[in-house]
Amino acid sequence: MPQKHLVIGLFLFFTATTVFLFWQNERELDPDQGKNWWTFSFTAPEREESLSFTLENHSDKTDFQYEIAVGKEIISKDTFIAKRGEKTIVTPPSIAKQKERVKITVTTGNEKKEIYR
Amino acid sequence: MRPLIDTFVFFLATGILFYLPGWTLLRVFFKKQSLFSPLERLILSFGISLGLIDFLMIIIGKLGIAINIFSLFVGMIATLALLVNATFITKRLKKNETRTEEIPEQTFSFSRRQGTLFIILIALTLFIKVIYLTHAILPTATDLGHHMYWSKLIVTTGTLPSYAKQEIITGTDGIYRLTEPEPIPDFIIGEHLPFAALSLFTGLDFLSAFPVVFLLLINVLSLLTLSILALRFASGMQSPLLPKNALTPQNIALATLFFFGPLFTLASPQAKFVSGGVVGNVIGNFFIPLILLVLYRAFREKRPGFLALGFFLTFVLAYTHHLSTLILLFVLVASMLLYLITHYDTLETLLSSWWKLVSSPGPLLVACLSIVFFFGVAMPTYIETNAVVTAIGTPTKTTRTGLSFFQLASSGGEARIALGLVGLAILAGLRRQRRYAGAFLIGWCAILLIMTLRPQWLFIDIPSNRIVTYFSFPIGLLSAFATITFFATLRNAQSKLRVPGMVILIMSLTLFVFSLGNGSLDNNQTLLPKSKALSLLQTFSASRYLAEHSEGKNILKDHNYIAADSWIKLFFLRDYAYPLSRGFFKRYEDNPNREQCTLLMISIPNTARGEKCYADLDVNFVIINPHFDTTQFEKSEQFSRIYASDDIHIYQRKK
Repeated sequence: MPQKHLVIGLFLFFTATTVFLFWQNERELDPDQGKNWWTFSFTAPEREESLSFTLENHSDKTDFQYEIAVGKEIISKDTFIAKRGEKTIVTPPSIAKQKERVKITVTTGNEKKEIYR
Repeated sequence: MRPLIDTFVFFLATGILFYLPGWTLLRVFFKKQSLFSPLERLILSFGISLGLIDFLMIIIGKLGIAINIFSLFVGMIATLALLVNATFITKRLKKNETRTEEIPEQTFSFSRRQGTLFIILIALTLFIKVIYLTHAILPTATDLGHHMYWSKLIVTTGTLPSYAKQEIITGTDGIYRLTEPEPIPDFIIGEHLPFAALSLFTGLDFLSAFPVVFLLLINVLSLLTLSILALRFASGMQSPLLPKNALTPQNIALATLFFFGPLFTLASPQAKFVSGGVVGNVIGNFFIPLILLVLYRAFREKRPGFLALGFFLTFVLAYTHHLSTLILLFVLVASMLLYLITHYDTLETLLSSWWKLVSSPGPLLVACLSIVFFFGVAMPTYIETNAVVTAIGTPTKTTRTGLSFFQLASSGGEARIALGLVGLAILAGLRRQRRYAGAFLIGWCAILLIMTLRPQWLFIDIPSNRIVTYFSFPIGLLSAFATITFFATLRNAQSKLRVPGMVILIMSLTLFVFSLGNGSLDNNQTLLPKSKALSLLQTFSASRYLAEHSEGKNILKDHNYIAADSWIKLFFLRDYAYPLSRGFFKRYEDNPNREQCTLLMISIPNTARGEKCYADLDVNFVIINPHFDTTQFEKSEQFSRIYASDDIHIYQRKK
């Protein structure tokens, strides 16, 4: 068998390998492909009075609730919808700088996350 | 559809950048195309192209021209034109070549059965590697993240990188400060330019699969190079004491492919190094056998053109990986010394023929151009920073004083080591060191054995577990020689020792199962249990968030518990040490003189020392894994949690 055939064989198998690896990497890096996670953060961390937050949803859940508490006192709560694969910005009214910790809690099902200033 | 397009542009760019220049050079300088088999042309074209692209980019950068797709393309065309125009020079040079030995081309053609087996072995090798890479293809590896930072910096800035980073120091006034970027010798330009060139030509993102796929390509080409090296070596080691078919080159090449392909294909220095982004080693492991192949042919066939090529490839390696270059130099010296010792009776004639070869116009021209480039254009960073002296001397650390034989066998694979040592004994017993092939193979194995087990004999001060990864290559080749020789001898009809067919079958099966079991176990131990995709996505999402909101303020992240943390710096491209990083805990314990701020600021942020570090270094943001480090920040009134996901929390320090 001429060595050229071996080179062609190698090329074909390596091409198939490459296609698979690019496909696999793209699939793994796709935040919504078979994954279930979400994050949330202050939309403008540099502005202390702003309570606006962004929820990036890559989970199956779409119904979320939030609660804003100053110390132990809950000053505001509401529900909102965040679709999978989207960033949802929620903008509660701003409040003046507080001595106590201002905490935003977001829950969906049994999951809960908190951010605070 | 996207993976198909990515694959197409990847192959197109790889062909243009890493095949065409080398192929042209071979056409121009080696008119007689039958000198190379197609497989040899493939690996040589790749190696030469890699060097040409590296040097071209260095020259473009040093001329102050922006490194981009346009300058690279024009530079390539100019280089190729220069090579074609150089034809007339080579015509004159070629007249001076004298050849003593022509090996008929059919010596290297494979039978149908051998060719089919070759393709099956390649397919099996790729299949096993792909199984491993299915979970390891993601950009999580620490080393790869470090390397891709520099490559992305080249692409983004269009200039050659200055290998430096900021350090934390304590001033005479007791205040912690970040220094101006200080030189670091750990990186070499040849590790980053090929990735930058590929990214420029393809537009592929560094977070895509292309860096790992490119390293996999180099790894597969290194297997091919070893196989071809075995083919060439076997053709030069026939012995009257062995049956005629004992060292059939094709069978030895196939056995080599078997020992490096399906077996031991995942552990270091193979697929694990590929996914781990051990760029220098992966490239070095391709160049070492390639250079040995070229130099072997230069000396055996007395071709100055091959010697010139060997000089060029060695020079490329020197700009790519220092450890591989050092190992290669030791191997060459050991092999040459061995050959000289075994030819002590004809030393004068031998040295005279070597001198004639070295002093030919081709090798001299390449040597002169290399010297001009080295002193006039750019030196490797490890020379500029005097890092070489740190690798030479009596080893003191326990990690550098050599491995035990048990550790060596465990690292290289018991089956391969056992068979390899048998191969070494066979070659030495047959006095094959009197041939160039034998001298190279025995010298290669022996010097690495000493460097691994007794580095103090050679005044080598390098981690022994890094040297041992190089040992697998000669020992694997020797295993192939041993296996094929053994069975060919048993099957020989003229042999006085007649062994029944059934016994041969049982012995074959035993050897096969031993090798397969050991090699597969090694593969199995390397497989990753699950994908890190979810953690990695959270790291990247948090990095994007900080890139948008940190406003250039200092950030600290944790290396111990955050997935793909070394890739975070690719989102900022501000400094190699930005964000600051809490390293492995052991490093703080092992080196009390190491700065402690990065440790204190995460582990005990609320103590006086932790707060002083924050204040002095003006660190505003901290990225941690909440499963390990959240309590100390929750308790503190000094921090706001501004970002939350399952595996990442970001805290902002209050002013």
